[in-house]
Amino acid sequence: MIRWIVSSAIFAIYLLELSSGFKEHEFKKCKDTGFCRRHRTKSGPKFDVLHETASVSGHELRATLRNMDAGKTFNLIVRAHSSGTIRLLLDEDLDPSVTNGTRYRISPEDSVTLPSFETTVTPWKTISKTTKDIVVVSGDVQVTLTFAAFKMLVVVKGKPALSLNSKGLFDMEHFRLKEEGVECDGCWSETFLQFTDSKPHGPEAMSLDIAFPGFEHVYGLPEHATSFALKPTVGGEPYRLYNLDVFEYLDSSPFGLYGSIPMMVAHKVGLTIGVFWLNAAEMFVDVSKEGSNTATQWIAESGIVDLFIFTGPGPAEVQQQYAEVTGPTAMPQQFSVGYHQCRWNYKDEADVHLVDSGFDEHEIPYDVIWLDIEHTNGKRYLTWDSHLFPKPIELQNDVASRGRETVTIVDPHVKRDHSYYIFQEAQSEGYFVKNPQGGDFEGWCWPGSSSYLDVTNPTVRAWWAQQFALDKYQGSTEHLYIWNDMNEPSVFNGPEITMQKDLIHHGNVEHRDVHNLYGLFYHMGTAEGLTLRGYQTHGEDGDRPFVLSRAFFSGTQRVGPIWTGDNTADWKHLAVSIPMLLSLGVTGLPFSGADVGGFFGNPDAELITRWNQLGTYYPFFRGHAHLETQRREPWLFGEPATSRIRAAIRERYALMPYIYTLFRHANISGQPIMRPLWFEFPDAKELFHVEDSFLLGSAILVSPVLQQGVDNVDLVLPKGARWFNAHSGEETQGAGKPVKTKVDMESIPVYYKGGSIVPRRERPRRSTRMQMKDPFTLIVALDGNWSAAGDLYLDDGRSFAFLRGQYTHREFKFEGLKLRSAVHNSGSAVVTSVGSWAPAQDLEVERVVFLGLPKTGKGYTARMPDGTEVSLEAGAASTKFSQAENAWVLRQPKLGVDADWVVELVAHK
Amino acid sequence: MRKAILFFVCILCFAGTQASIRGLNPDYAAQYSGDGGVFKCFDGSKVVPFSRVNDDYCDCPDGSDEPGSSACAKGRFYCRNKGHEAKLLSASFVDDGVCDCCDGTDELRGCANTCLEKSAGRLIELKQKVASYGDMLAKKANYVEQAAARRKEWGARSHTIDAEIRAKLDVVEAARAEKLRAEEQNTARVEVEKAARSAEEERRRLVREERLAEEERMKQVAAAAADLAGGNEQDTPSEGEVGGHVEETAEERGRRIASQWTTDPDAAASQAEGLGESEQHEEFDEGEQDEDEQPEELEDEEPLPYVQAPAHQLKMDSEWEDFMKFVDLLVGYTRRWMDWFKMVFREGIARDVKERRKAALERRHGSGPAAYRHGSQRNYRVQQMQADEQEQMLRQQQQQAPAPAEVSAELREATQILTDVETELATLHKDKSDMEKYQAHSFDYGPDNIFFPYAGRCFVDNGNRWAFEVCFFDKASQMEANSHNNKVNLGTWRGFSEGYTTALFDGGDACANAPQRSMRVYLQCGAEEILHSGSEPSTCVYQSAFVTPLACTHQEHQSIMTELQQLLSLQAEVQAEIAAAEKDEL
Repeated sequence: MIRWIVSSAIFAIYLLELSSGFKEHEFKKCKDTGFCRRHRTKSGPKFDVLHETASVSGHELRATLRNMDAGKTFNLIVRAHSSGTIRLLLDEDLDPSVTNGTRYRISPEDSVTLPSFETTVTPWKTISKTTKDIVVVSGDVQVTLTFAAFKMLVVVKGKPALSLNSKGLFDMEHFRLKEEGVECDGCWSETFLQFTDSKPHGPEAMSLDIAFPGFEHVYGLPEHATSFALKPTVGGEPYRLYNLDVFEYLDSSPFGLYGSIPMMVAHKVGLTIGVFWLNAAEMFVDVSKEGSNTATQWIAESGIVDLFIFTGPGPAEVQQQYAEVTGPTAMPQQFSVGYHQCRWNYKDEADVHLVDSGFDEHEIPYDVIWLDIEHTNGKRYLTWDSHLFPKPIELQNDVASRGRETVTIVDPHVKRDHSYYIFQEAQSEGYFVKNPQGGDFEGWCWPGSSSYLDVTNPTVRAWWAQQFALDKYQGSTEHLYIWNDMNEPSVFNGPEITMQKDLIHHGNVEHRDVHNLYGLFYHMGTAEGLTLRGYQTHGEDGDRPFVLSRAFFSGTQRVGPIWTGDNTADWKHLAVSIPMLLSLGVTGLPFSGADVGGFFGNPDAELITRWNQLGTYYPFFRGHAHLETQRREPWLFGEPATSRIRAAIRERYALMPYIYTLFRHANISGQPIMRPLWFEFPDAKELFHVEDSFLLGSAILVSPVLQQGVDNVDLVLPKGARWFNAHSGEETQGAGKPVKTKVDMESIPVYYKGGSIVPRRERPRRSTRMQMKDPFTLIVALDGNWSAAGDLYLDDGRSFAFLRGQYTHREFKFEGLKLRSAVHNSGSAVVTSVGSWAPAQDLEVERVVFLGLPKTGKGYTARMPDGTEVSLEAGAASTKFSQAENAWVLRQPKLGVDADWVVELVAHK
Repeated sequence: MRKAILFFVCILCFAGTQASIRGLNPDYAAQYSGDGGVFKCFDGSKVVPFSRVNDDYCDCPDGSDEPGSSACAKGRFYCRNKGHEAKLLSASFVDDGVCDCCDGTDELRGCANTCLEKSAGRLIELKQKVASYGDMLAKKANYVEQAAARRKEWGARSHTIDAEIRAKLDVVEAARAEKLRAEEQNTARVEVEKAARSAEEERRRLVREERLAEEERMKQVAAAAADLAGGNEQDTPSEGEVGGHVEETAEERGRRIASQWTTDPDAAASQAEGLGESEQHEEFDEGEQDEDEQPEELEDEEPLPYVQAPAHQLKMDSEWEDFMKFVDLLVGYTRRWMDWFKMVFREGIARDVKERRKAALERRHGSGPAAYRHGSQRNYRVQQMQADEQEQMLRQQQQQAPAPAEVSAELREATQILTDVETELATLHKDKSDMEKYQAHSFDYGPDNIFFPYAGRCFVDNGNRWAFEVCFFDKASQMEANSHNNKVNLGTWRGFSEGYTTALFDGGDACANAPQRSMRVYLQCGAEEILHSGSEPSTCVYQSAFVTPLACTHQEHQSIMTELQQLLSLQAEVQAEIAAAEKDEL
């Protein structure tokens, strides 16, 4: 008996060991990394600006920077841009006798940043120049460059915004020849576990010391599963930016995940600024708080300093400034804003049909069915398992006949199999990433031994793009879209499950220089493929690509959405999804979502219900599950869960006009879709740390239930606005104070912000495509002055015709009891013309719901554009507001969406 | 023609008073009388002017004012689908461009009436069923006789089975003694031959050792070269160099990391060189060499994307070395096959193999009762694998010809006989245990014990990757379709329910966050026994349909005949209506 107990215990421990998830020892920390050890919290050598070299010529402030200990010089350029962006470039003045290497720089030709940004430079005005410093001004921004020791201060509208090297941590290593006997920690080779990085170029790291005077909060630097407001890292690990495939990541860790955006936003009352370091090498960032200041240190392994300082002054401006550099979010396929149903794996055609018809049977809308790796012939992407999927074209066409799309997975590892055409072509053309010996690199991934496409090479990307033509990708149709996974890249037998840094890419570039870019380039090549296919199949207006990626970098927003990778079915991962997505929102990658339900593990009915209720408001809304989990399609949890999940997903579709309009704003001016509360209430200090509720656009506040078994939540509604319960229409009192709010399982607290007009489509259709002809409901939620405004953007939802003006963008304003419809003025330099999308002429407003009108005992009459008068009704069946005292409904006004009109309300006396 | 049909549809929906309300369920017609010019929501929440019925705006929270539009989220659209089955459709599917009702009424923009086509299938099915129902009932009656006969046979045999077993035991003893004798003789012969061969063996051994040493040397040179180049240290840590501590190879690491994500070897390429699904199927069918069958010695070296056929190797090197390599290869193959066999036996297929041999023996001797076959699909696969394996063995034996015979013909025969009689003995034991287990009083075998012939019988569906196996009065399981490995218990026999139309199994293997596995098998009337592909409608709850003449009833016979009559007259009606509509349009 005792023996039995002991052996059971041992077995249990063994099981625990097996399932303990995150394998910390597989991944490096700062202490395991030479360049981080060399620089972290260590004062650099003294760097001086040689004062005689400092000069302003037009839009450039130029100077030579010198490492006074080593005598080595660097070239400094500071540029001003018209939008209020300051760019600082720092490159090594290469010594011709040291042939150890050159510094990698990301140029506009690499399609990471927009070439158009380069032309927005604006002249500096020199204010003063002495032997100590030089002061220059452009617009509201003043820059002081102090010579000895090197320091730079940026002041915006008279307020100090950012200082460089105020703590003297700045350092920039220089290329050198290896000298025997000279100690240099981890400079020439370093070993982690069984992996040795050969480092043929020696040390080339940089450390930036960036302080934010008066800022207590900084945000951004995705991707980390941690708090939204970045916590100080003193005594712990720095935030790491290194794209990695992390098995069962933790819900609270500064550890680097699948993607990296070296962009930080600092916010305080009265000023928001941003810092972006265009560098794709491994990076560590420390954050420390000193009184009301925040200091940061950024350490990168290689490359150059190419630093962008976005001077705001507001949060929206910072986003717009960042979008000018790296591009705004691509206008998505409308279907991709709907609900996606994914699983590893929908096992065969019958399974797909069953799931597809399950949605109709349970009357739950959805747009896309996803096929994971098992659909392929032995993990050879762009092929089909002929037994499981013998008729892929019929399958896709059948799904499409009900207005839906199919997605297949395509990963960057290529099975080393000479009978596989992709391998054969790529190998014979030399399109794979090379090992240091010059041969094709071989790593291990899903298919076994694999090589990896060198997508940093534009020629390879162009070849890759061609593989998606309908006649190339056998079994594909115009209704098939793509999912790129494992593009960090994931290499199962590589260091930290990725490529070793001394692999060689196109142009003799080391992997270390481009690691964080690899995923973006692969994503880009794939999306380019779908774009090409779109022009081949749809003609001049083409078809917008849809490619989901796991890895990302700055610029990914122009390519397609990302998701937060392999999360877990627990309440902590549900909660951490919000700060993760908010971080992506403020770093220019708003089209993102977390796997609803959690990838690993089995959610119970409560968790999956709460996750769907939150997922409704994710910019990217997809249910996904691991191979070895129980099936969890929305109807498998029985009633009442099915009805609750149905209600959540239907709400997503009802909000589609509003969300799609938000995408247009992201597309025009880089605005986030899911926003922190402070984004709309920038002076409310008490909101700066909030990460358990958020805004969808500016009009909808979402306060999800993130704990199991609770019947109330503590809710803070920002003060200075009226708030209307989105489920009942009731106005909620007590904004600004924490309110204990009762919750049940039917829904989560969601509010309309007074002053907003939200367009909805109330008819629960099969998919977004089936909604296209439905009429609209306008929710007019009034502010304290009984005013409100909102807009509605419409186009065909799939092609590039909107670029030729085939869109309709309307603005609705309610003021002085008059509701007015007019053309929306984008206020953007990008969109100057007025669009016209013919089908909008057939679309009508079927209902207007006014929330928060002045109380009147007798109700209201609406004076219609044609002069007729209609009484408003109290409440309305399908908007759930029949209970609300102050909800007034204009029934079937038959107002054209694309027409200018005015409806005036008159209170009954 | 098409247009005419569409037009016809609209005539139907707007003609007449009651029928003029689109999507109206005739059961509720009274509520839409329009009396007093008002409409009362079904839930009583509102009274609205009757003009608001079907005005494409949702007034009633329950959707009752809009039976014929998509305006209400909760609305229900009724399509009569004359000639087929009436349907209550969600309002969200009305006028969305998808034809959901076969009469096309859910789409104002137009759909062809496909009810006749839809019912055509049913019509054929009904006609066939009506035609064959008599035979099926006769078959069913036959089962009563079978059951009685079997019970009688068992009754008689229960007295003799022990004697049969004792008699067979004697035969087995005799066969064993005979084999022992043959073995001794063979050993003596082998000893003599061995002495003669040892000199030659020694010479071969020396040559072979030299070759291996040479290969090892080459490997080390290659590894050293790679080390020097500095790129792939992790690839080939030599065992000798790290003082007995064996480091992970690159491939092992790849497999290990892959297995973090999933324990499914197919998905993760974590166990065997990843083979495509389709390749696996094909190779299984053909039974030819594939990557899996490569000797392990070869796999440990660079992954070979192609199968290195022996013939190919023979060309490469000098003849003697080739021969030795070939011997190695054969050793590898044999080991693979032995492993495979062990695995198969472990998983319980041994039973089938034995039965097959027994059947063969019986055929040879032309005596003995025919063994019960356990699922035709499954036997077929086992036979295939057996045949492949025998062919393989035969090939190896032929190719091994240069080596002296280790086993005499006499011994082989004695071994075979022993195996056969042991198998026969096992069958007798099985018969005995079946007879004990499925005694008359053990289970409810239905009226007239009609299900008794299913006692001890199993049926397997033709699942693609996973197969279901249903053994009446015993248990239900799920397993890999190809190998029958990884069997999961879906439940033990619980009995029939709903008048012997459903068979229940429960208390199967545990499920995380779900009740223990259970299975429900619905019996359907049909001529042959077929188990339809099983499914898992909700987590760990399985179901399948089993076709058997035992589910046929006189009542069903009557009802399908009635249904057929009705369908035929409806068809005539709809055809006449369509013709009339076409004429109207002209």
